[in-house]
Amino acid sequence: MVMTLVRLLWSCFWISLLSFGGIYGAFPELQRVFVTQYGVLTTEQLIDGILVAQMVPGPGMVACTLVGQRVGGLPGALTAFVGTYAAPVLFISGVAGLFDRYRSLVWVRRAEVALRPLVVGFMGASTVTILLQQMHGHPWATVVVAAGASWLYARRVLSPLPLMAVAGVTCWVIFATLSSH
Amino acid sequence: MTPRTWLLFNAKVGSLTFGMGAITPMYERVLVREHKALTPREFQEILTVCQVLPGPTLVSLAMYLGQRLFGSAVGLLGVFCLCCPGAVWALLFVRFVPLDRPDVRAVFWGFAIVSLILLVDMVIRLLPGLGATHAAGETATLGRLARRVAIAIGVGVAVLLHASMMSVALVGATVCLVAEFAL
Repeated sequence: MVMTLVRLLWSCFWISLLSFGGIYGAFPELQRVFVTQYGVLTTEQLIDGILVAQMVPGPGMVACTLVGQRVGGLPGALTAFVGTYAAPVLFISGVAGLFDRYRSLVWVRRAEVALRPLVVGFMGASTVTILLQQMHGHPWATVVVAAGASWLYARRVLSPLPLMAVAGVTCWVIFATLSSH
Repeated sequence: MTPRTWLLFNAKVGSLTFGMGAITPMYERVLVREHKALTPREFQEILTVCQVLPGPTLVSLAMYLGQRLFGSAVGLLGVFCLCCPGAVWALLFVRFVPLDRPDVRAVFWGFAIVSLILLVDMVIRLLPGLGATHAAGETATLGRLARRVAIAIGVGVAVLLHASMMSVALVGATVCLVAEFAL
């Protein structure tokens, strides 16, 4: 158990440190480590954790706490919590001062722009993974609900949280209809 | 603004506000417009640093702001106040909501579709940044833009093929910097 918690602490620490942007930046590595390498979660359970994290207040990285809870119960959740948030706290404490001092230099600003493809690549990979996961089951229904939700979102008819509620109810109705046949 | 009000503010944000898109403007409103603890330019610079550096942006932002205004200890406590309420909510959620029931899964299917839309929206909003340069208002040459798009695709494919993120980040960052400074 102690080794599991130590491994969990270390995994959450460096996954958090390598996540550009937030939980979606961390998703591919969470999947690789906890689903593929250790086999303690399914991709579906991992996506559930991310979805729950979006439904509770605060940073989305709380999904790592849920991963820890799945792996090691409450001690696992606490370990993952510490590992996830210790990384950015330590990193930003060390680097922010240096960045503050040198941020006006041209090469620092060029490096910042140069690294942007990395962020786009990570986010794009997360998008494709979740898309492929959602196309299992009833792809046509996924496409229809996605098209409707995209329209509502693009037209600013609904903000993300109410939109999630509407999409959730719609999918529940589709599920109930398909089950009754 | 005092350390106490900073910690209370973080606890309030962590308890009641959803998502980085909603939380970041709250920091801006309180620190820049209400308490005038930072200028708009200072806030923008700090936000950019937190977005560029690895790690969750929101946590980095809370730590950076707290540390800059009140020192490391208060910065750390601020992060705790921000992150703790959400963790408690999430653990209660998974404890009491039966996630394995098919009808509950159907509701989550809808949630996942919307989060996919939000993710696509975020990626689309990040794309114009590939065509920028270090100078404000200036755009990259076509060749440089093509190299950046190719690197982004390469990084995405490597991640989808389950390459370790540390390797992808290290190799990707090196390629990005070589493409920027050497080509």
